[in-house]
Amino acid sequence: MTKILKIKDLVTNFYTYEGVVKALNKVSFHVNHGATFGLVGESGCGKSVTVRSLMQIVQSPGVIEGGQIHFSPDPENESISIDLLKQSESFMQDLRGNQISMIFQEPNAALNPIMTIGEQIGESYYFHRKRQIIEKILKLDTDPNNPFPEIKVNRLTKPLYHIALNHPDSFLFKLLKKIPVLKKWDNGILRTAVEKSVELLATLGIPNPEKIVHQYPHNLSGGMKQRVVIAIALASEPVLLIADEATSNLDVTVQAQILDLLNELKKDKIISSILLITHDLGVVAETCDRVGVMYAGNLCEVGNVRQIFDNPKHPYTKALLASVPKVKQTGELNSIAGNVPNLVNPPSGCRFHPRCDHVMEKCKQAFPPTSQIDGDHHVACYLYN
Amino acid sequence: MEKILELKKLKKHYPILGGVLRRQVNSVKALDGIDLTINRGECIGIVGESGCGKTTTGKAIIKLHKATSGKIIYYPKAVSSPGIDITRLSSSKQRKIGLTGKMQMVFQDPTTSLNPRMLIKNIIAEPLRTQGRISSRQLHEKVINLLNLVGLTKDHLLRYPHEFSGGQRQRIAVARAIATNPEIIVLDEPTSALDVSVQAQILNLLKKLKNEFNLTYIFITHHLLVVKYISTRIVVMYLGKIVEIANTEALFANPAHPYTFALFSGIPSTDAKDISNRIVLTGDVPSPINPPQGCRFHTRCPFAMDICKKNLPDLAPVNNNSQHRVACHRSREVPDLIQATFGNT
Ligand SMILES: Nc1ncnc2c1ncn2[C@@H]1O[C@H](COP(=O)(O)OP(=O)(O)OP(=O)(O)O)[C@@H](O)[C@H]1O
Ligand SMILES: Nc1ncnc2c1ncn2[C@@H]1O[C@H](COP(=O)(O)OP(=O)(O)O)[C@@H](O)[C@H]1O
Ligand code: SF4
Ligand code: SF4
Ligand SMILES: [Mg+2]
Ligand SMILES: [Mg+2]
Repeated sequence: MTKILKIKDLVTNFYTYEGVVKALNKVSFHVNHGATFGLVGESGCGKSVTVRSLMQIVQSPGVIEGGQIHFSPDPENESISIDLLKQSESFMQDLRGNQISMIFQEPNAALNPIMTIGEQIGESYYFHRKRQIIEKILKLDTDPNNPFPEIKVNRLTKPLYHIALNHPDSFLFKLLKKIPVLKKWDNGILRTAVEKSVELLATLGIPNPEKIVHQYPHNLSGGMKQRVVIAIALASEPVLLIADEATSNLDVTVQAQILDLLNELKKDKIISSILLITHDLGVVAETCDRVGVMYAGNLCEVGNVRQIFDNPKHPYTKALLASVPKVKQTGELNSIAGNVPNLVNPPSGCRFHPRCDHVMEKCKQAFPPTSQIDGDHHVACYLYN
Repeated sequence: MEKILELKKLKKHYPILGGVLRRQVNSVKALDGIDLTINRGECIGIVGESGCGKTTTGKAIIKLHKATSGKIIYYPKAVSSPGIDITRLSSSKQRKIGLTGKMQMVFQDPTTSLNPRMLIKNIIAEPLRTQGRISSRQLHEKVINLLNLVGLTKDHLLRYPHEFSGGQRQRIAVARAIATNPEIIVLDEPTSALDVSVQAQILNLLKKLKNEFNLTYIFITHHLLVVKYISTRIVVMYLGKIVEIANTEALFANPAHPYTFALFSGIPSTDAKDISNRIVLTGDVPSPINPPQGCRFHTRCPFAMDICKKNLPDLAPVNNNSQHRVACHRSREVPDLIQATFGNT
């Protein structure tokens, strides 16, 4: 299996008034092509900072201070790889929302309140798939059953479509666009994009998509809005979809719908690789192939989902799993004594040591190296070293 | 079993004002007539999705807001009377018969429920002062005692809420709630804002206190597994109505309402064996401003029939068991329907 993403020794700090928040302390993991990788942990452990570092959208007092992020978009050839931390901002801008799409917890923040749903998904389509649409329009022009009758490709605009397709950056094209009659030349494409968004919404199981595209975000419920956000993210056909707590604000029955949807889209190959961030272990168990468990800025354990859930090795993973109420639970719930540490002054050595039942002297001295348990299963703990 | 509280046809409608005259144009039917008997010393769980009226119920019980109609009858231990309808009791009358502080509430968000400008010692002492006269020495001792009960120490007395973690703040909120020797505590999502590892600490603490002081809990949550752990009886609500009520084991073993099934199967589970045969509902919870006619769940129910759209089902016993009640026209067939439609659950 080839890897789409390899993160190595990522370090991100926040320079706040209180002191330096050591949010990520050498985080390493990889995501496979065509697979879903889950990153779990309690709030503040650094899940969001990890993906924000990866996209290079860390908020202001934050600085990425070390590590490598290798991105290999081609599933056939892993060696074509770029280190995202070495790329320019304009390169990253192009990458975000194009090859890598993100969806967040709060759909309202991602949607424009004064644009219709159709316009928003359409815009994403238009932006990322202009070429494809133009090709189709030119082909359909000769088709008597043109499904886009509103797009009039006449003698005047036809050359323009050809130029837009073949020389989009040419000086001639820029000049032509300035001519008043040609200014709105791409209206047809835009409308086609809206039509495409109806199709996409239907795929995502939204009832009456042809009505929904004309509505505004405030007309929709939380679950519907999150689907629209997913639709916008998918419109660009990303090779990697990042979902950061995308279902955490939804009711269980609606969360179940969205998780079901992600699994379906995955099965139908509409989405290929997913990086899923959540604090809910159950969500990971139901959607992911591999999982990484984070604690206080460290990755403690990583492996195949069933390895981690059925045979956890790291004391934190074990304690975390034991503190989740379960369907077949009887008797006491296990709790972990103490609290998640403040990352301005994280505990020395293994950051879990003040709460660990198996703590040894060396745990307090230095951070434990990562050891392989078997195959894909790795753990950072002295008990296995 | 001795009853402690009885809700009778309890309703709470929030008015929606509109137009230039700010007249009432409609209302949010947050709580639309519920009947419920709560026994002394039990922990009754109230579950349901966001907006179904859980918090509204809790607030009505502790009289944070006035119910629109219906009765809340309280049978206090100290007063041997046939019960007092507290919806009609003025606060001075309440004080006179010694009911002040007998019902307390712990809220979901420990950050906003504690006054950020008050010292911990004053936060905990406040309800004690309003309850009646108490010497400052006694007060001090009592506060330290309460802190110890919830796993904090007297070193924490002179600190402000922001100096504590979420879990510790929730401990402080619990200490304040038990300060007045209440009989009933309404716990509104007391662990939802906490991390799972800390949630378990608070749940264990609540269990311990309940046994120690013979408290009655009304435990509100959207998380079925959390109530399963702490409650002996569970009430499932949907859009301002009770749709099912049963003892915890019975509810988990034989859920009779399709919505309860859906809630169960919505819980993402870490257990490999649980991941199969689930019912995933379509659509979202309808607006409580204009709730659906008939059975309120019919817009999302996979088994809805014509009668469901017309008639509101009664909360009726399941298999003549008066402890287990369900509001569904097809409750008898539901287990078979689920089996036939979604495989073996
Ligand atoms: N003060 C208010 N004014 C108007 N409507 C209100 C008010 N408080 C609550 N509501 C509405 O009443 C309904 C029930 O609200 P309630 O707070 O009881 O829900 P809940 O079950 O506690 O939900 P959650 O799980 O989100 O806390 C909701 O539709 C809510 O929007
Ligand atoms: N903008 C910021 N300024 C200062 N500290 C931050 C900022 N964003 C995140 N942090 C800190 O980084 C750590 C990890 O945060 P985050 O990745 O958001 O956690 P989560 O795992 O819940 O997504 C936390 O200690 C948090 O306080
Ligand atoms: S390294 Fe030491 S302190 Fe850390 S988890 Fe392992 S045993 Fe516990
Ligand atoms: S009454 Fe009808 S609509 Fe309501 S839950 Fe039962 S079967 Fe479904
Ligand atoms: Mg986060
Ligand atoms: Mg509430």
